Amino acid sequence: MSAARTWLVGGLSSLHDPLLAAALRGAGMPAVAMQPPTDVGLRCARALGNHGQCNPAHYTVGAVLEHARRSGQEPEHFADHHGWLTAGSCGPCRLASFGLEYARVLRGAGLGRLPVSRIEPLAFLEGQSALLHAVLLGDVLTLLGHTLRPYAVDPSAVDGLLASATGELALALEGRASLIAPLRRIGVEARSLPRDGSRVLPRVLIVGEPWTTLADGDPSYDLARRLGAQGARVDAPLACDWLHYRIWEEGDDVRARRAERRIRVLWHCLTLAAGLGSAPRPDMNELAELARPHYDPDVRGGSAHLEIGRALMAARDRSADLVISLKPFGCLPSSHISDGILAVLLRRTGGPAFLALETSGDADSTVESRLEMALHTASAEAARPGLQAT
Amino acid sequence: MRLEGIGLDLGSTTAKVVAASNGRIVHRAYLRHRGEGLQCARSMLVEAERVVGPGAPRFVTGSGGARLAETLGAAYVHEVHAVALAARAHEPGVRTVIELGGQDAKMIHFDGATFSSEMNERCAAGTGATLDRCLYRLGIDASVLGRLGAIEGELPVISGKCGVFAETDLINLIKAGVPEDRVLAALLDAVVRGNLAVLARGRPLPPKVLLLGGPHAFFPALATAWRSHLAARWCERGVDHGAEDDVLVPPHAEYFAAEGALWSPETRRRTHLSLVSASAQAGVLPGLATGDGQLRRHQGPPHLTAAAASGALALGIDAGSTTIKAVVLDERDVPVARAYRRAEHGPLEDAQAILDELSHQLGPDADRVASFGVTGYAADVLGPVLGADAAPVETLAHARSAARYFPRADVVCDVGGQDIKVLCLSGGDVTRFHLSSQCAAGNGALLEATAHDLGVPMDRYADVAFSARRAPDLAVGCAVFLHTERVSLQSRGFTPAEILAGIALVLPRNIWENVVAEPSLRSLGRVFVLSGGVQRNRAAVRAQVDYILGRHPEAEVLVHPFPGEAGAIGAALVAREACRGVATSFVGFRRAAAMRYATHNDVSTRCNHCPSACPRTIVDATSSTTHEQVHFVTGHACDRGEVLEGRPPPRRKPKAPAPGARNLLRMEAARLFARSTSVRVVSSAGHGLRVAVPRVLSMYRSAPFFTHYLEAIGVAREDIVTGKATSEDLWRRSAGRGTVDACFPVKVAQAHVADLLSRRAQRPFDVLLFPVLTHAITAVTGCADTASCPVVAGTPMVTRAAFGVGDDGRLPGGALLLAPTLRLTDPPRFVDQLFAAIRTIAPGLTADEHEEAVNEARTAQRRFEQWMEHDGASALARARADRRAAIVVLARPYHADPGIHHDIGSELKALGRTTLSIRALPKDPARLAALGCETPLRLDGEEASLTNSGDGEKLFGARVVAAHPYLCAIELSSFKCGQDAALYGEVEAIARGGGKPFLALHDLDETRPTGSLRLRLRTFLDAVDRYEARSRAAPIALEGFGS
Repeated sequence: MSAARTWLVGGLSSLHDPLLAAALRGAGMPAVAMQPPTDVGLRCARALGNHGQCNPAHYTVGAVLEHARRSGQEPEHFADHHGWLTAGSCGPCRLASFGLEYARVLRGAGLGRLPVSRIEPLAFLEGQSALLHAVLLGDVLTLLGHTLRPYAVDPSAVDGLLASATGELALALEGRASLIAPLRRIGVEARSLPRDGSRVLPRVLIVGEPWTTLADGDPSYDLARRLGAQGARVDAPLACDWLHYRIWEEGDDVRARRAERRIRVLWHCLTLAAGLGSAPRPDMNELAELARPHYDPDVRGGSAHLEIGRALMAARDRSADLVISLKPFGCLPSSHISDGILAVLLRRTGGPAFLALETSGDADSTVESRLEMALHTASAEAARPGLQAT
Repeated sequence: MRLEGIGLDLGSTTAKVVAASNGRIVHRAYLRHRGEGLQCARSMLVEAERVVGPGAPRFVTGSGGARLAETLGAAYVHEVHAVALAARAHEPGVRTVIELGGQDAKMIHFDGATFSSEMNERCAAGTGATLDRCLYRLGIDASVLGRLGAIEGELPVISGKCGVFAETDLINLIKAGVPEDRVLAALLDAVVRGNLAVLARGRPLPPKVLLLGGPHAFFPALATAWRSHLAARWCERGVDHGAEDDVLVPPHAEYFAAEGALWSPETRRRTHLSLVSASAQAGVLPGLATGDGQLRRHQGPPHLTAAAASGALALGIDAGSTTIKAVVLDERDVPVARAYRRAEHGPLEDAQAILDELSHQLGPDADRVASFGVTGYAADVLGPVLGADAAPVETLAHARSAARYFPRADVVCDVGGQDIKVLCLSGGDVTRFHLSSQCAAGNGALLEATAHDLGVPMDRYADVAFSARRAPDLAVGCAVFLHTERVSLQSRGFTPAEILAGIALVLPRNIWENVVAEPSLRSLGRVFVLSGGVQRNRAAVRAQVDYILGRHPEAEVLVHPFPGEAGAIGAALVAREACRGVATSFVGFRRAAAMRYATHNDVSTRCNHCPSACPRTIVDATSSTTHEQVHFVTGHACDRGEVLEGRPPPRRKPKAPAPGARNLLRMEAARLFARSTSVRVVSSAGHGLRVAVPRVLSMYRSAPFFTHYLEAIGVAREDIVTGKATSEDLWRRSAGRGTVDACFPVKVAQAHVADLLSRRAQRPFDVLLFPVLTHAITAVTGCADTASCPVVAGTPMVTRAAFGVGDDGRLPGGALLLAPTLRLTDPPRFVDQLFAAIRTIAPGLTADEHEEAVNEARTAQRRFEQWMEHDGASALARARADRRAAIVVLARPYHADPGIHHDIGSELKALGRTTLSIRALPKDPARLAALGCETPLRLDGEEASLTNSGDGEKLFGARVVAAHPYLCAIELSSFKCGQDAALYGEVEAIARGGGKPFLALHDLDETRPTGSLRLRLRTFLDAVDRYEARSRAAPIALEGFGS
C-alpha cells in the first residue's frame, strides 16, 4: 500500500470502520473511514453493474461512489489520490466475483484507476495487531449496544454513548495508546445510563449472511439497532465470529490455531475492560457438529451451516424466542438452502419462531409487517411463565 | 367476549370495515381505495359511526393499518393475529388459513392453542394484485373470472412465481389462440401453485382449511383450484381428508381481518416499527420537466399526410401483446389508413375488428391492397390464416420502419406493452440488439397498470404526472417490487401524480441500465429514435429525452411520427418488397371478415413427437364465402409439431430441415444417462440392489461416473433408475415439496425426487443416491477454486428436510436417501468418502473392488466427455467449412435438460442451426488451435478470483466463441441464478468480440415463453445471417480448414 494516497476504509460497520481507519493512521497510512453504505449509493452502483449481483457488492462499492461524489473532485483526480481498502470475500458464491464487479462499477464511474485492496482475514490476522484490535473493539462496542438498548430508558442515549466511545477509542488507536483505560471509562459510562430492568423482553437471534448481519444502516434495515430500541434483546453475529469461521476453515493449520488463541485472549481482555464479562463467542466446532446432521459443514458457500448451527444451539439452550435469518435478496447459501432446512427443522423441534428477511435496498412494507408479527409472537412467547431463559 | 366497536382493515388496494354493536355485526363495507387509503378509511369510519354511534372503540389492522392507527389514535392489531382470531371464532376446528389480499398472502397454521404463520415477502406474485394486473392486461372484467366454472382437462402452465412472468405467459397463450376460460383457469392454478411454493414451505396444510380474503370471496374457481391441489397434497402425504368441508370459503371471507380486529384484546396504541431508511426518505427527485414546447423540439418529422391514396397499397399489422396496430401505406410509404386498438379478444377476432376499421377508412381503395405483412406476438396465427406475404420479426419491422423515416438513425428504442427492444443500426441494418428478458420490468404495461391502480385514465397520465413537483426515487428492477413499493410510497405521503411521475422517470433507467446495461450512451451512437406505443405517453417521452440528453448532450432524440404503428409500418414495408412481381396471398378484407374459426388447446393437442410435449394450439378456420377449411398449428418448438395425426398436412408447409444442423444439446442430455459404455463388473456387492439417481443438477455433470460405478459394483443395469427428463407434466404433478423458492433447476429437483418416489409404488427401489458434490472437475484452470454452486451442492440436504427423512436416513416409503458429501477434486479423499457411503448399502464391497469400480467409472465419464468433444469439434469444423455459424449455448451443465432450456436446441435446429454446449467444445489446446480458435484454458487477473466451476467455464466458452469466426453465443440463465447474474456483463462483452451477435436468455423459469422466445431467437438468427454475410465477404485467416 502506498502512503501517497488516502485509503478509504469501509465495508464493516459504522463502529468498526472509523477504528480501522484510525489503526491505519496510527501505522502511518493516511486513511479515512467512509460514510456507511446507503440505498442511494447502492442504486448508483447498480446502475453501472450487473443488475443481478447481490447487494453487498453494490452497497460497498456504492459507498465509494458516494464518497467520490461528495469530495467534489474529478473522478480521475480522485482515483489517483485515493485507494479503497475493503474486507475480502468469503466463499464460492457471488462474493467471489466481487473483484470483477468492483472493477466494472468503478470503471463505469470513471474511477477505473482507483486501487482496490482487499484484505483476506487470515493475512490480516498475521499483520498489524492494531488492525485486529480495531476489529475487536468495533465488536465490543456493537455488543455493548445490543446489551444496553433493550433496557435503556432512552435508546438514543446508547447511540450517543457509542459514538463518543468510537471517537475516544479511535484516538487511542491512532496514538497507539492503551486501549484498556478508555474501555474501562466507556464501561463505567454505560453502566450509568438510566435503565429499566423490570421488562420481560423477547430474545431475538439474528443469523444470516455475514456481511449483512454485521452491517448497520440501510444494508441491514439497521435491524439490530431498531429491534433493540423496540425492546428486543438481540444476539447477532460479530466480525470476530467471521474471523473464527475463517480460521476454522483452515482446519489444523498451525498459524490458524495461533491466530485463534490470539483472538480469544484479546477478546477476553477487551470485554472484561468494557464491563461485559467474558462474553464468550460460539464455538465453531460445536456449531459445525450441531449443523452436520442437517447441513454438511464441508459444503462451502459462505457459512450456511453457521446459520443452522447457531439456530439449533439457540433452540437447544432455549436462548431465543425468535430467529431471524437476515440476508441480501436472493443470497444463494442462505435464501435457497439454509432457510429451507431451518424453516422445517425449527418447526419440527418446537424451536423458536423463524423469520427469513431479505434486504433489497428499498423500503418494504411487507418486511415491516412480517417483522411486527414475528416480534408479536416472540413477545408472547417471552411472556409465557417458566420459559424465560436465565 | 362481546363484539363491540369498529374494525377497519386497510389493505394495499382495498379498505374493509366491520361495525358491531351488542355482540352483533351490524355494518360491513368494502371499497377499493385507489391509492387514497387514508381518506377512504376516514370516510368509511364516519359511515360506520353513523351506524354504531360516535365514540365506539376503533381497531385497525391491515398492511396500511399501523400508520392509520397512529393517525387515528386507534388500537392496532396485526392482520395475521386478527385473521387468526376471527378464523378460530367462526371455525374452531380450523387447522389452516390461507388468506389472499391485494398484495399480501398469508398462511396460518394452527397447532392446539397456538398458531404460526408465513407471509409473502415483498414479491406480490400470487396475490390479488397479480390477478388484478393479469385481468387488466387481458382486458377482462373481474366478473368474468367470478363466473368461471370448472374447466376439464389439463390446463396450460402459467408461471406461479412471478406476476410479471405470469402476464408474459398469459399474453403468449392468448396470442396463440388458447380460449379465454382455459387461460383464466390456468391463471388461478398458477396462483395456487405459487402460494404453495412460497408459503407452505413443505407443510402438508391439513384440513380444515379456510380460504379468506377478497380473491377467495369473489372468485369461486380459485377455491376449486385449491381443493384440487390440496387433495393431491393430502393423498401424497397420507393426510386424512375427504369431508365435504375440508376446504371452505366462509361467508364474508373478505371481512375476516376487520372482524378479527374486534376480537382482539389489544386496546393500546402501538409504535410502528418502521424500516424506511433515512436515505430512502431522502430519495426524492424533482418532478418531470414540463412544457410541451420543449418536448416538441425532440419530435421527428411532422406527420405525413396523404392527399389521396395512390398506386398499390401495402397493408401491415402488428399484433402486439396488449394492442393491435394496422396501417396501409401508399406507394410513397405514406400511411393512408391506420388503426390502433387494445387487444381485447383472441388474435383473430382482434384482427378482424381492426381490418374492418381499415376497410371503412379506405372505402373502395381497400381492393388495391397488393401486399400484406404481419408482425408481433400473434403473427404465427394471423399470417397463415389471413394470407400474409411476409411475417418479419418485430425487431426487424421496427428497424425497417425507423430507417425509412430516419435514415441517419443509430439507435431505435422501442417500448411496447410487453417488450423493450433497443436496436443499434448501421445503414439500416441491425448490428446489435438488446431485448428485455422474460422479466419485462419497466415496460409500457407497468405505466398502464399503475395508472389503472391509481384510477388515472391513460390519456391523462402525462398531464397528471407533469403536475407533480417532486417524484419518488424508485428502485430500478422488478415491476412487481415497484408495485409493492408504490404502496409504501403512498403511505409515506406521495400523491398519485408524484408516483406516476416517478414511474415515468424509472422507465429510461430500466431501459438503459437494465436492458442495455451500457454505461456510456455515446458508444451506441448519436441519433436515437423512440418508437412503440409507450411514446404516445408524453411523460414517458419526457423522461426518456431528459435521461438520454443528461448523459449524452450531443445526442439527437427523435420520436417516430407513428410510434404506435411503427411495427405495422415495418411489416408493410417488408411485405411490399416480398411482393415485387408476385401476387399477394392476402385473403382480402371481405374474406377476412367472413372467416370463422375455432381454437383447440388441451391435452389432446399436446405434441407427442418428442419428450418436450409442446402445448400446441390448433386453429380450425373456415371461410364463410368459399367454405374452405384449413387448420394451423401454433405453440410448438419445431416443425415436427406441424404434423397432426388423422389430419391432412397444414396449409403452411413445414420447412425442410437444414442439412447438417445438429442439436448436440439434446444429444448430450440423452448420452449422459444412456450408460452405453461397457463396464467391467468388479464386484457382486451391489447385486440385487435397486438404486434411483435423480436426473437433476450435478448429475448433468457426473451421471456417467455414478451410473457406471453402480454397475461396476454389481448393480444390474436395469436396476439403476435415472428418472425422466424435466417436463411440464412432471413439474405439475410433483411440485409442492420445496421449502425454498429457488431457481427452477433446484426447485424441480424436489419434484424429480417426488416423481421417483411416486413411481416406487410400481417397482420399489432401495436407495436414492443424491450426492452432495461440493466441487466439479473442470478443464478450466487458474481460478481460486472449482466449487459447485452452493445451492446446487446443498439441494440434497434440502431434500432431506423437505421429505422428512428421519434419523434412519429413510424417505417416506422406506427407501434410503444416500446423500454423501463428496469432493470430486480431491481424488484420495473422494475415494474414501464414496467408499464409506456405499458400504452402508453394499457392505460386502471391498476397498480394492471399490477402487477398481471408481476407475471403471472414471473411464466411462472420460469417454463421455471425449465423445461430446469429438462431436463438438466436428460441428466447429463443419461450421467453418460451410461458413455457417453454429450456436454455442453458454450455460450451466444442467441446462442440457430440455425441460430447463425449453428445448431451444430443437427450435434452432429447425431453423437450420447447430447448437452445442460448453461441454462439447474441445478442451485440448492443440485441438483448439487446429480448429482456429486457440483459447487459453487458464484464467488470470481478476477472473482468477472466481471460485465457481461454472463461472470459469462460461468465460472460457465465451472466449472460444470470440476466437472462432463461425461461432455465435446464446447465454442461458435461470431466474434467480445469482452465480450467472454476477457475470452477465463479462460473458456478453467477451462473446460479442468482433461484433458478433449475442443473445442473452436470462430468467428462464418453469414455463416456456413461446412467443417471446421466438421473437428473441428469430431476431438473433437474423443478426447471425447478417454477420455471416459480412464474414463471407471478408477473408478468413485459416481458409479451407476442416473441409
